[in-house]
Amino acid sequence: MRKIILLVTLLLLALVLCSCHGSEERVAFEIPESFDATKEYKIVFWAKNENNSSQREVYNRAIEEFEALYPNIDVTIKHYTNYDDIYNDVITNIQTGTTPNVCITYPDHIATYISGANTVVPLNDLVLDAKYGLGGSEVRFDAPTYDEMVDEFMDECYIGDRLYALPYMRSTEACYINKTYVEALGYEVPDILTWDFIWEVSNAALEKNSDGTYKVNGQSVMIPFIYKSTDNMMIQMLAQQNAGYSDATGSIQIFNDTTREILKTIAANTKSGAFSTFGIASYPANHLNKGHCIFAVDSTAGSTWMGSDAPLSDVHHGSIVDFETVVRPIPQYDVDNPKMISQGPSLCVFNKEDTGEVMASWLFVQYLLSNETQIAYSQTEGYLPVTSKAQQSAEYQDYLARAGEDNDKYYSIKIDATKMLMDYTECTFTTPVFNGSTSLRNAAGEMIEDVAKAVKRKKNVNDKYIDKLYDDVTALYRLDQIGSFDGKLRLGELPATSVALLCGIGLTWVGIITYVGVSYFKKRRSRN
Amino acid sequence: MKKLFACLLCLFMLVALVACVHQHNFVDGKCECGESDPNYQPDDGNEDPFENLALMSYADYVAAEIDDPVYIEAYVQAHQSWWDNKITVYAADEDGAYFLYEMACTQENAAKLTAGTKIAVKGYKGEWAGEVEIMDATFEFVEGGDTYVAEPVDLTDVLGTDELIDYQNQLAYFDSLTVKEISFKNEGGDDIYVTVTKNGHDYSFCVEVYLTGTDTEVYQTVANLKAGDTINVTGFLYWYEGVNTHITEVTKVGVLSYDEYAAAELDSYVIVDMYVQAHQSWWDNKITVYAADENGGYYLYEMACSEEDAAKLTAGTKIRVYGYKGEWSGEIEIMDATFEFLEADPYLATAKDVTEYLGTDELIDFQNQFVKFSGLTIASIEYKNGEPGDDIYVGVSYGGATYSFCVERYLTGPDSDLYKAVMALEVGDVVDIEGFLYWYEGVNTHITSVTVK
Repeated sequence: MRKIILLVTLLLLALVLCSCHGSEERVAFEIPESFDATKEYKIVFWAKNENNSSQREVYNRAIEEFEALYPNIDVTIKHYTNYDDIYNDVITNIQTGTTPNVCITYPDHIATYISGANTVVPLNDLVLDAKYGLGGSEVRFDAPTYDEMVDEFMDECYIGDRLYALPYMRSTEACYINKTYVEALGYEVPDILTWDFIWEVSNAALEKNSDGTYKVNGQSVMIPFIYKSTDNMMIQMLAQQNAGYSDATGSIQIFNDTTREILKTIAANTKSGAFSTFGIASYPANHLNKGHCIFAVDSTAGSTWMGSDAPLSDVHHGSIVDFETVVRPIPQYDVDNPKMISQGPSLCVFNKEDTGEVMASWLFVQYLLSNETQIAYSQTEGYLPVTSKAQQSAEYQDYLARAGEDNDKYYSIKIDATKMLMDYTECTFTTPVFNGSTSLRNAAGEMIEDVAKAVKRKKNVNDKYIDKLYDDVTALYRLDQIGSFDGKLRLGELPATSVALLCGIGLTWVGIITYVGVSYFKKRRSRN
Repeated sequence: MKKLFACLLCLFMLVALVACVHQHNFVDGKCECGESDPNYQPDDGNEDPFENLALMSYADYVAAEIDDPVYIEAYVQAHQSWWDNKITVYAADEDGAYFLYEMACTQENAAKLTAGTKIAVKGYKGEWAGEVEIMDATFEFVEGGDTYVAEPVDLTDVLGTDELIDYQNQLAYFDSLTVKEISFKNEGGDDIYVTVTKNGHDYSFCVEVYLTGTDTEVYQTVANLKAGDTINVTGFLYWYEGVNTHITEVTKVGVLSYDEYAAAELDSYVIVDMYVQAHQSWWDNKITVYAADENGGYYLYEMACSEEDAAKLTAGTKIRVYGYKGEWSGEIEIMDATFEFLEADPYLATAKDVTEYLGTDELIDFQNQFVKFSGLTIASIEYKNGEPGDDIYVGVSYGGATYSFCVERYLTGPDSDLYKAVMALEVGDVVDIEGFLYWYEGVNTHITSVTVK
């Protein structure tokens, strides 16, 4: 009997050990006493560029300079041209434990990454570490201090009370306007656009000549208002009206009457021909430069594509028309209280077994925040450096002052877009981050795209339609399965291996107790 | 005897003459001659139900009980033929629709009930075999009223659901219904009953002859439909023991030929049979396919497709595609598409040499076809990401002009022979290129093979 019980117990223990297989949870990162500058480290950085060779050059130069400062650290960069590809690759590599060391990211994405424990390194302690923190005593270059990081941009990188990323560059959306056409229609471009102004001018631009061409441009195509990112469009229209979108706990509030009115307005203006989207009409910049569009809303990080003299263009040179371009904040409902989204890449550090490797990654992240990298990268597009140290530097101020000197580094539209963000930094906002916030963002854009498509396909966008749309996007993006985020991570159902582990532990205890019990009674009998 | 008959006839004639000149004098709805007043409503001590009735919104109307008096303003959308001082009208406002059954109307006023006309209607809310209507109604024209003609509401996705009845009486549109049976109420010339199927369920629609007479296009089209035909239907969402749309317009949706597809308007719904030539990598239940038939090429952008079906989309496979014709930066494509497999011998297009059309307006006529270019000179090679792994932009020059071609990584990825061959190209190489004639702000061939001369 004793042998059987022993065997069963051993079997159960074996089960317990087996169930431990596959568990790759890392221990939480702790800052080491010192960074071993003699040990060789290889770190991988996944970066994103706007298909812009000058951005790649800035990254490559930063790596070169950083490796010269830290000869023991070898940085390998992988270039991406969109955030989604990075996100998808990170998700895949989390499962196999092969994440990069550092990657460009959005806080929305990090909310998914941190579903696995200790995947992303919280930076709260690192940024303040006296030796290796921001501007720390042991850092070998002139890094910004914590106080030199722009508060608004830092705030975006907290999830709950944990700092999971640092901002790298910031942008917002801007409205790039064909001022020539606006004035030809009898209007003046105000300092701050209203939505009413946009719709009014856009509809006025649809007047045609007897030959079917549009009066304002003399061409057969005119899409007066094109919005690149419809998710941003919905988010900002809601925020400007203080309407629900979601809250910090992950509660979905987007399906409200304000959203309904926004969709009806979009339907009406799509029907008239005043409005279209990137998904339907293609890039706003292409249409703006061809004289097909009057108001093009796109990121300030896309400013080098905007205007007759834009340094970057996909459009055949012969198709580009001459016009004066001006940059304004996106249209507003309340001009006295403008609101616009803050966006742009952030940097996160992935946890690794070797704390030295994490420290090497962290030092590289700091180097990307140095003036050298910040100023150089921000000049590649309408980006704003995320440190006051860089923003206030003489070099950067000189750059801003030279707007219009050429159509390349000093391209006026690009610098105007950057200045616009500097002027309105306090008016920027971000949406709450939680596991599922990416889906909600996609749903916000999908509703506008869907309504615009439906109108073009002669569907009637009324309350019934919108009710169904709400249901459809809820199902498509599983918004009804997004749980509230209360500061603790939701880990979902236990994996089968964990269930087996727990069962094994329980059965082991049952076996032990049984064994002890049987032994006890046997002893008692023998004493009797 | 003859005299007696003559006297009797004279007497009857006299009586008849007296009766003819008699002017009815109705008192309490009765004449002393015994005739009843058809318009008499006895004073039963109740107030006129409409006297203090406020104008109702559509929501008020919906909330009213059956048999309640109702007072609404609405816009005429269509009407059945006038008869005997009555007319049945399909009306609507921006919130909903009304069926005004046999509303009192002079022939003169009936002629003024044109589509869009605003009228004020008083009557009683009724219900007949599921159809909610306004009965015993009278109306007045709203002086100086605006006009409104409703656009059809696409209810294809709502068909078969409990929500459909919420759209009752509205002008509805249904996409791609299959005709199951056509029958006539009597011989040809009366109503046509149209049984259609969608998603495995049958629905009974109707061509109401008093709405759309026998000489109309819709009547003739429906009369000639056959079981198995696919149709798009527009009509008023009438109800008779279930949905019984009164059809006003029908379009027979055949499978389009390439020429018909090419002629179709943008954003129109299309059904086309074609053969898969190649596809980009499957992702998230979507796949982008290059397809062709003997007459032209197609680009199916992010067509809905399971991973299992994607594996069956081998080159040459015949499929029937349902989707919307779209255009994006010059590229004509089928968007939001679904498909089904068809049994057929495979077809693979041979590359058509279009070198002579480079730089001409005719080149776009070959859009999406499998083509080849001979004797192009490599002008530039640029990686989208600045390094191998992503798309490769290939600048080629011919006849003094440069064109942008592309190695699309989702079609021919970094592991493919083509990708490696393009990586090995050098500026100045003279090459022959095959590929699909994609368009992005101009020709932007997706290269599938390259041969250095």
